[in-house]
Amino acid sequence: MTDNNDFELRLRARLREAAEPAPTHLRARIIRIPEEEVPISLGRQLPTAWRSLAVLRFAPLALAAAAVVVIALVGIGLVVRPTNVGPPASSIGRSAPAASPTEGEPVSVWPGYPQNEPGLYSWDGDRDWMHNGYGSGDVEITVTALRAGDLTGAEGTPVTVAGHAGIYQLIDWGRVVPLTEKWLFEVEQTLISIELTAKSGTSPSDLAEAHAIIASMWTEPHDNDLGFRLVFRLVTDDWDSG
Amino acid sequence: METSNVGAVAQQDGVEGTRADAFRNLVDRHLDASYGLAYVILGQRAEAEDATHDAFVTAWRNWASLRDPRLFQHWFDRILVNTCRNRLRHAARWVTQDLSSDLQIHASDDYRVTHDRALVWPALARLAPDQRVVVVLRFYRDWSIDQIAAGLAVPAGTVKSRLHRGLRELRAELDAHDPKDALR
Repeated sequence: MTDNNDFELRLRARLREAAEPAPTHLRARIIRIPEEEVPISLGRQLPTAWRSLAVLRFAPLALAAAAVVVIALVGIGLVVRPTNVGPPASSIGRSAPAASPTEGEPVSVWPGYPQNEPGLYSWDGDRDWMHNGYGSGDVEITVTALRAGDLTGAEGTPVTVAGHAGIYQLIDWGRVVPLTEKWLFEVEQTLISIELTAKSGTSPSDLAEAHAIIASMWTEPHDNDLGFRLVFRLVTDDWDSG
Repeated sequence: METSNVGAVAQQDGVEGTRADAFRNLVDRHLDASYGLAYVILGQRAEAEDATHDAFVTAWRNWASLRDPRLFQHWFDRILVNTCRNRLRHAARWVTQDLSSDLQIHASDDYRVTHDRALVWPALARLAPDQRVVVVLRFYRDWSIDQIAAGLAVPAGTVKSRLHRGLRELRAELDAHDPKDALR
């Protein structure tokens, strides 16, 4: 047996001896997950939903600060896509996308693990997540291609996202996962889910930046399995993914 | 791996009203192994509990993206590992526990085992998060290089280099503590 093999065998043994069964209270906590899911339609139940979110304990102040950040981003031309996303009452959205703005500007693939420069990025179909890991790490965006289905009748608030009609959901997971927002829309018979998760205590500016990223999204035809890609703009170098 | 049984359970998802039951059955089957993986990666019970819980929340929320229920284990492992990596990247917020203090020393243990036990965990805790994850997946879960690459969505070459650097640093750490008896 070589030294390497011996080293690896002993390392493997030490790792495995550390494993232990999950504690009973964790099992009880996880078993309750389905019962704690309370999708909230903003239009109907906004006050109740938002009261339960620790991150929005100071909701008026937070919303005002977020609005200032978004307006500033729009004002300096960093939010380039006029798309209606976010809570329906948000002032982010305006109209449907115009011609593709990628002409002449390079589009990178989904942000990677290293620190990513500001610029245009695209999602091409694989489930991907990114977070502001070089910033606070408090906000995370996940894009997933789901099985196509008719969104008609789905619970949520009608919105336009990435230039497509969709629905918006604010999901209250109680005190454990403080804020989850989800946008669902269909493109070329593919259901796209964009999910934003913010930890408790997320700053209004971080939340506003995440909203601005989603607001910047649009789809355009592309040579991949989906037949299109989702393009968006990062305005800071805080973002990375796995 | 009980993929066939898992698949049979998860297939119930197709029936309205049984999704929660299928989820709970999968929790029963996979919780211990999942928590164990999170514990070894994160090195703290509280962190491992939160990561495991959050991963199951993510799984529940994205249930529709589980296209082949027979692949639940692989699908969920990816979610769990990414959740753990996310937490490790913010390790400055908490201090990794030395797991060696949790492990009982038995009279029957030979010197080398006791020695390894005392050194491996602190050394592992000092690895970069991505190196630690790769080392754990390779030597705790026995994932192949290709499986790790697919799970982490990085090229196989990246996995190899992280593994190589991780093992090299582990050995260097151990040598520094006890040049005569370090793992070799």
